[in-house]
Formats: sequence, C-alpha cells, structure tokens
Amino acid sequence: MNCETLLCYVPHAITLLLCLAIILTAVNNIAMAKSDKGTTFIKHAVWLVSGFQLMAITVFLINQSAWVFSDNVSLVGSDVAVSWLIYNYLDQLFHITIAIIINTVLRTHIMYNCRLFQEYCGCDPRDGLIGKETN
Amino acid sequence: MIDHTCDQGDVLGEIRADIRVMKVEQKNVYDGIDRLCKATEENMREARQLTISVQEVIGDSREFRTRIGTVERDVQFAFDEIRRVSTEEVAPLRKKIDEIGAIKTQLAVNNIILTGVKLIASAVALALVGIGIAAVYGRAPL
Repeated sequence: MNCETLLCYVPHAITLLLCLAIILTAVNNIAMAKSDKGTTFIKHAVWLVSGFQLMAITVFLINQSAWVFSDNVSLVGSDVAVSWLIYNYLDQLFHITIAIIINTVLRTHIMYNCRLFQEYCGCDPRDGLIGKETN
Repeated sequence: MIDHTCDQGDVLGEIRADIRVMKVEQKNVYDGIDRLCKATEENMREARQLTISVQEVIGDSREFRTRIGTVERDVQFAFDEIRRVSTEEVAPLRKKIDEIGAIKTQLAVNNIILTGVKLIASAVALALVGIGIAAVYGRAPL
C-alpha cells in the first residue's frame, strides 16, 4: 500500500527522534563520566555501555535508511512491518531508558560530590551539573 | 717686688696701685661669680621645668597604661562575647543552613530524576503515536 500523506512518514521521524535522543544522551554520559571524579570502574562501565549504545544505534540507522531508500518497504506485509516497528521502538525505548538512568545517576553523583567538596571543586551543588574542572 | 732702694712713698704708691688692680680683678671675679650664679639659677630653673615636664610625661604614660589596660579588658570581653554568641547562636543557625542545603540537594536530585522520567515518558508517548499511525495506515516504515 502506497502512502500518500505526510503522516505516513511520522513513524520515520519518531524513529529518528528517538535515535537522536539516544545518541545525545550517550554522548553526554561519556562527557560526564570523563569529568566525574568517580572510580575508574564506573567510568569504564559508562564508556562501555554508552559506546555500545552509540554503535548499535548507528548500525540501526544505517540499516534502516538503506532499507527505506532501497524501496523494500513493500516486500513484507503490514503485520510484519508493524511488529518490526514495535520491536524497533521497544529496542530504542530500552536504550533510551538505560541512557537516561545512567545520566541521572551520573548527575546525582556529580551533584553530591559538588556538595561534599564544594570548596574543592568550585561548583554550585544546586546546579547539579558537571561544573568546573579543578585540575 | 718691693724695691728697698726706693722711697717709701713710691712703695706705698705701688702697693696702692697693686691694691687697685687687685680690687679691679676682685670686682671682675665677683662679677664672674654673679654671672655664674645667675646662669646656674637659670639652669636650675630649666632643670626644674624639665623635671616637671618629665613628671607630667610619666603621669600621662601611666594614665595611658591604665587606659590601655581598660581597652584590653574591653577587647577581651568583646572576644569572649563573640565566642559565646558564635557557640550559642551561630552553631544552631549553621546546623539549620546545613539542613536546608541537604533539602535543596534532595530537591535537585528529585528534579533530575523527574526530568529523566519525563524524557522516558515522552519517548514512550512518541513510540505509541508512531505505532498508532502505522496501525491506522496499515504501513510501517520498515
């Protein structure tokens, strides 16, 4: 079935939005882990998880765009396509949930560090953000 | 020296001349003694004045010392008061400030968590919208 209206492309846009959110959050996580004064294990774990997330989303975007631009949409039936769409969305939701949880934990950790070592790190704990580098 | 070969009148004359000279010298000596006495009196007067001045200075310094002692006692009292106020009144305030800081931190943490939950909820809503559109149009962008 050919899609005549722009609404048919909304699922594309939503996929792109979700992927963009995952990429931005993962990059932010990597940057925060770099500036955090936590243990090396946590930093390496965050880098590993965020790196795999970035790679997975990148490969997914490449495959998806190749599939769409090669006009293979009509090769599968609607039920299969919708179920794959649901699978893709759930996969992206899983990734974004993991990324946001890591982001929240990192922000909280940095904020508590700022509160504990306010004079040392020179940042405002109310910001709850990365603050300034001390070195 | 009296010349015995001279007349007595000459001798007397010489003696008188000598006596005159001696009187003149004696007068000079008395004058000198008077001047010395006057100078000594002036010096004594100045010395007395100086003594009085020194005594005044000593009195002033004693008074100063007394005042400094009073000021020291006042300063010590002020320090004791500040220490008492800081321990009795500032310490509870500091505790309150710490408590408020902890509450602020907790609020900030809650805000961060709420932002994350909002983001996840937005993503879920977007996914539902996408699935709904795909289901309505019977076509998914796979």
